[in-house]
Formats: sequence, structure tokens, C-alpha cells
Amino acid sequence: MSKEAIKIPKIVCGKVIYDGACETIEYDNGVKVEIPVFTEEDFETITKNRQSLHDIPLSEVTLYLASAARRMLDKNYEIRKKSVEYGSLVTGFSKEMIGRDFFIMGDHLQYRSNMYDLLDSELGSHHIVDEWVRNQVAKVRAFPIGRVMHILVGNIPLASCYSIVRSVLTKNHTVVKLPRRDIITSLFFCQALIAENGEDHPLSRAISAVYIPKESDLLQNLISSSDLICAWGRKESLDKIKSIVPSGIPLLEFGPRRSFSIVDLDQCDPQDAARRLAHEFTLYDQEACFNPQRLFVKGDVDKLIPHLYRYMDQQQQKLPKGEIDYDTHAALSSICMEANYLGYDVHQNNEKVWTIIRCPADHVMDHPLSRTMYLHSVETWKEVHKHIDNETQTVSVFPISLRDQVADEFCSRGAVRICETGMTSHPRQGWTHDGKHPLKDFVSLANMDEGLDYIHKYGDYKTEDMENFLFDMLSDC
Amino acid sequence: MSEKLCVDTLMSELKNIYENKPETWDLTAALIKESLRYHAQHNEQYASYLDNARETVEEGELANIPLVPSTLFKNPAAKVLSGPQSEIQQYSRSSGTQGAVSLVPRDETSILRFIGGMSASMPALLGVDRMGNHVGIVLGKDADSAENLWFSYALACITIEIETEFMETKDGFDIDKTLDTIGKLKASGRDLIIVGPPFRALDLAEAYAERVGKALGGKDFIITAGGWKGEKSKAIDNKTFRRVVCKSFGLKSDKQIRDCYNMVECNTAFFECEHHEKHIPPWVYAYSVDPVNQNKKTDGEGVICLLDASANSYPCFIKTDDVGIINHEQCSCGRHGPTIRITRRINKVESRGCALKMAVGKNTDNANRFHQSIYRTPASHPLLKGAGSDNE
Repeated sequence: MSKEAIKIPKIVCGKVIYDGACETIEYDNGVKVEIPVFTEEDFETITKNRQSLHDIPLSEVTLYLASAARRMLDKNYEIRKKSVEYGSLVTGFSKEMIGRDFFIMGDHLQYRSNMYDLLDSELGSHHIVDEWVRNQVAKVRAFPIGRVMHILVGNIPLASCYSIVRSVLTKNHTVVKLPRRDIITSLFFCQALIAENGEDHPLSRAISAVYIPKESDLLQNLISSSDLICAWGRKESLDKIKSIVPSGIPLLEFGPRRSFSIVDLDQCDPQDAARRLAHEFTLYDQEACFNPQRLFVKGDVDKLIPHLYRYMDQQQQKLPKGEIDYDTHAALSSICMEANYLGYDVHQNNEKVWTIIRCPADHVMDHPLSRTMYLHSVETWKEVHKHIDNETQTVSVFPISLRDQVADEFCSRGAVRICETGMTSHPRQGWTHDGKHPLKDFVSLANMDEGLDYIHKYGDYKTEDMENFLFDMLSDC
Repeated sequence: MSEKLCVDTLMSELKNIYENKPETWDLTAALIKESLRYHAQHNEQYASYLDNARETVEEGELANIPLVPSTLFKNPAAKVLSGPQSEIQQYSRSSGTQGAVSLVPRDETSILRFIGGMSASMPALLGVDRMGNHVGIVLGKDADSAENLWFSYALACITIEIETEFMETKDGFDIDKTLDTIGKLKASGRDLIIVGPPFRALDLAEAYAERVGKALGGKDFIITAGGWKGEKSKAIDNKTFRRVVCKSFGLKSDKQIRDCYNMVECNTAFFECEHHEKHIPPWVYAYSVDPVNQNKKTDGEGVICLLDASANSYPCFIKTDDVGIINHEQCSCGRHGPTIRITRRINKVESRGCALKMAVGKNTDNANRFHQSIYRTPASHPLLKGAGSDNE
């Protein structure tokens, strides 16, 4: 690996800047990244840009996203190539894993109808971001909330980009605090948007992506001058952010959560189940909240395990496991030792890139992530109930017919998403994210009332009588 | 050879366990293997674990002995007890700062050897006479009040063989009483061994400098143990710590400040010599492994593994959660035997990215929220009943 630092730009109001004093970030694997320092002047530039974007038609906004998306589908697109190469070096994820995310993002955004569906799903109607929409005796329009600061975590390349899409789609100004964990993907995603649409496009000028050390005073200044903080991350990170967000500035948080899977082998083909399970137990090397960490099975588990061997290995060919750090290796080996001591079945392939530990559900140990599956046999789904709380995100079920059997019990205990096994990272249109429709937080829902002369379904009155009642007689009631 | 006699003999009858007596150090392998045989006979789960191990333990290297990860002691499903339950005098508890609480069964033999090990190591490394002029001041509770919390219990035992006063009651650590006690004991001509966790020693040092200011003597010692626990924000590196404490107490040299390494799962405490190297006594075999391939390391940093023949009631063949270096070259202090240097704890963050890791134990402080689960309110370890809170 080259010792030379990777030089990346900062983006300030659409300008891609390489010049100026640089911050050097050093990673445990020896990789160094240099990025221009975020300055007081940059802060002034960002906060002085108050160009309102609400009048840009949705069609133009979606074209803005789609034009860049189509380029992202091209493996030879320079920005994608660099992003995959640098992203893999910095995050340790395989190039295949990051490239896959660029494809998914590009494929999703190139069809503008997906964005319309998203708005319809979360805000009731896509028209609402362009015009006043009838709502009982009022009309409502979703205006951008202003400037959204995204504090990203960088564990899932796709999620970082999606956070930015939400912001752009709702016509907001977007400031990305680039995460150290993955300083590349969201920056290069923004760069692609700007490159394909021009830096003078008003939507481009509303985009900034910068690295700000957590101890910098400018971080507090930027937070205090934002209209929404959209923060992702670990408990400790979110606690810290919460402590510095002033009252009056809303905070949309996506904190850490757990997920798991349930499979009824008496109702499905074990091979089909294994193929789907292997996919969702290996994506992002289990660092995503939607990755299941344990599997509850009804039926003969012995029929499933050989297929899991095959498909977990196959995943390694298709989406190779990224680098894992020293401490994760240590934790994983301790957990396998512990399982061996307790006499549980521990399955690993020769390279130990994945691990399956078959044990009673109540005897579970710490989870090292890193493509590890705790597998528990159960008689009834009731045995799963005590493992659910409101830190639970997704429960994937197979076959999908289990969904209606378990959804009420699981979701009333705190789970927020039931999906078909294999689909944890492919939510269908209409999904909720951590129990919310986040786009609602990105807009200010303004309304304009109708006048008294607008006779709606209530009562049968003359305007004059109603005026008399409201302004003179009501005080006597 | 009687293993019990040998460990006990080493601890109690040798004047200096770190002397260059080859016969002493040759005993290590035999003691460990004797201990292995004992636990294989008296601990069914460990015996089964041993049977399933790939390596031939009896003939091979000590590093082939199947290890027990320290996390195992947190798992209620694990049976770590060797021998009868009726022999157990205490289930030693960890402080739980990294999650669930470890519970380690200790019988009288194990406890006496733990204490015996300290009584053998400390004089040999500090050069103090058990019957001399020293008096202990423990910045913690006495052993009876420790309620099986190993950290407190171990602190209380460090100076067990000399006259000792304890500075913590149920109302907490009393810094005024401590300063007063130091003053009185120094006035009566006694030499001190002040024992406590580093954060408390630091608080005391600062208070001493501010309120007393009189330099302690050349025979006084400050011994720290237990790490920074819940006071991580105050943590400073070892050299800075020694410099600050040395200056505050007016000590002649930082050789008067010694640290001690121990954990609830290990039955031996490792004390520093005057060169701040922690010495490993002959009844312990220590090595480190590469976490990637589990191979024993010959040099450099690795995950520390400790094989301790002094534990009778559980197999003390521990893979720790610590990263460090085992040095087999002779220490510059001139004493014999290997030394151990801990560089850091293995990071066990509860979440990575946005994935909240599954872990039974104290990994959330939301236990009273509406939706509960086994993660938030783990079933208490059956052995914890009556042993106080497991969530301190």
C-alpha cells in the first residue's frame, strides 16, 4: 500500500476545493487522508448562502439526482472509481461491497418515479413540495426546513448517500459533516451531483461536505446555525451531539439498533432460506442496524446448516469480507472459545470468514458482528418475544407468510420493521425508517386556511351569521 | 510431586521468589500441568472441553492448554467450578465496567494462595520486611466490607500481612481521615504503604500537596491497582501519573510508586519492581497470542494469556481481554523470570456503525423504559443472589 496520503477535496457551497491547509487523518491500517481544513471563511460562506430553493420544481430536483445517478452506474466513471478505491482503503470494506452500493444508489435514483413514490409515501403527496395541496379546510405546502446538517457515521456507504438524498429531494441546503469512518463515500457522492449538474446550479450551491474535528469550535457554530440536525451513530456519539444542539433546533436521530431473523423450515425450502440468510448476515460485515445478528428457527436445523455453509462461502466470493480489526479478531476468538467450552456447535469455514454458533437463545454471549450468526431452535415464536425491545429494528421472516403471524406481537414490543428474509437492505416503497417517515422532519408543513365564506361539510350557515357568532356572541356562551 | 505443596512452598518458604534458582523456574511447567490434571478430574465441563481440543496437551507446549476466555465467567450457563460447591468461600465479582459481571468461585485454598502470592511477591519486589516498620493505608474498604467485589477485596489484601488502616466506609472514601492518618503515622515514625486505585491516589496526592505539603520519606510507597474504572475521564499515562504523584507527595524517586496488575479471573497479582516492570511469579505461565491466527507470539504485542497454578476451585487458564507484551529477557532490576506489560484493554464497544451489538449484561441504561427485553434487564446470574447489585 502506498504511504502517500490520499488527497480529497472539501466542498463548500458547491465549490470543490483542494487548496489550502490540510487536515491529515491517519487510519489504523496505515492509510492517510488529507482534506482541506474547514475554516471560519467556509463557515461564513455556508451561512451567508440563504438562497431559497422552494421554487425549484420537483421535476428539476429529481432530474438533478437522476443525471448523477446514471453516471454512477458506470463502473468506469472516474468519481465512482475513485470513491470505490479510496473508500475500500479507508473503511476496510471490499471494493465489491462499496461498488454494490453505488450501483444500488444509481439504479434507484435514475428512475425519478422512485423519488415521487418516496414523497407520496412519506408526505402524503409529492405535489406538496411544489404547490399548496388541499387538506380539509386548508391548503398545505411542504417548504424546505432550511439548512440540514448531516452528522454521518459512515458504516454503510448507501445510508450516507441516502441521508443526503432526503435533504436534496426536499430542497434543503445540505451540510455534511464527513465521518472519519468513511470520509470518502458521501463526499464523492456530493461531488458526482455537482460534477453532473454544474457548480452554479442552485442545488449544487446548497451542498457542502467538510471534515470538522469534534473538538473544533466551528462544529458548535455550524450546529447552532442549522435548521435540522440529522445525526447517525453510536450512543456515545449521539449523547455528545444532543448535549450541544441548542433548544429550538430539531434533532433527527438514527441510533444503533439490533435486528434478527426467524425462519420456519417446515414451511420453506431450506436452500432458499440459506441463500437469503447468508446475504443479509454478511452485508456490510454486519455493521448495519438492519443486519440480523441471530436466527430463530422452527424445524430441523440440520437441514439448514449445510446450505448455510455453501451460501456463506458464496457470499464471500461475491461480496468479500472487509478487513477486520485486531480487537474484533480477539473478540471473535474469545466467543468461539466460550461456545466450545459450553459444548455448543461452532461452524466456521477454513478461512474463518464467517461463524455460526448454535446455542440456546438464553445462553447468548457478546456478539462480535463480523459475519457471525447465533442460531437458536425454537418451538414457538413466543420464545422470541423477550428478545425484542425498542432497540430492535428489523425482523426478517421466511417464508413471508410468517409476517402476519408475528407482526402484531413483535411490533407491539418495539420492533419497527418486518420484512422478507434477504430483503433487509432492500426496503420496499412505503417503508418506515426506525419507526418514522423522516422526510416529515426535513420540511416545514405550512398551511393556509380558507376564509369563512368557504363552506365545507360542517354545518349550514350564512357567513354573516357565523361572523356574528364568532366575533360577538361567543363571548356570551 | 504434590502440586499443592509446591505452589504453597514457593509462596511461603522461599525468601525471594525472583532469585535465580533454576529449580524454581523449572517447576512452572510441572505446576501448570499438575493443575491441568486436577481441573480435568474435578470439572466436568472443562474436561469435556479438553477432550474436544485438537492439541495433545499433556505432551505439548503449555500454550496448547485450552484456554478459558475471561468472558466465560460472565455467562450463567458456564460451569467453571472445579470440586464441590460446598468448599466455595466466595464468588468474587468483577466491577462490571465492561458489561456483565464476572463471577469466580474461590475456595479457601485459592484465596489463601492469592494472598500468599501477594505476600511473597510484594516484599521481594518492594524490599520491605513483613515484620518491619511499614504500615498499610488502603484507600478502600477492608476485606470484610468488600462484599466479594474483587477489586476492593484484592486492594484490601495487598497489605494483609502488615498493620493496615482502611479509609473507605459505607459512606465512601474519607480523604480528610486519610490525610489525618498519614500525618499521625508519619509523626510516630512509621513508613507507609499507601494502596489504592490510581484515580483515588491522584485525588489524595493533589489534596496532600495542597493541604499538607510535607514530603514523605524515602521508604514510603504508593501502590496502585485496579485501573481507572469509571473515572476514565481522569486517566493519564503512567509516566505522567508517577511524576504528578511523586511531586505531590514529595517522594525521593518514582521508584516509590508501583502499580499492580490483576483481574477477578486471575488468582495472582503482578507487582512492579523499581523499574516499573511487572514480574510474573513461577507458578504462573504467561504468553501472548496473535488474535488473527491464535498463534503464540514470540515478541511484540498480543492478547495476554495467563496459566495460573494457584487457583484450586476453577481452571485458571485465562485468555484475558488485555493486550500486552511478555518479556522473557532479564529485567534490568536483576530479578529473574518474565515480566508482563499491559498496553491496553481490548475495545468492546457496544455498537459499531449503527449495529447495536447483542450482549447480555449492562449494555444499556434504559432498563426502566416501557419496552423491556433480555438485553436491558438480563436475568440475574443465579449466583448473584444476595451478592449486591450487578449493575454498579
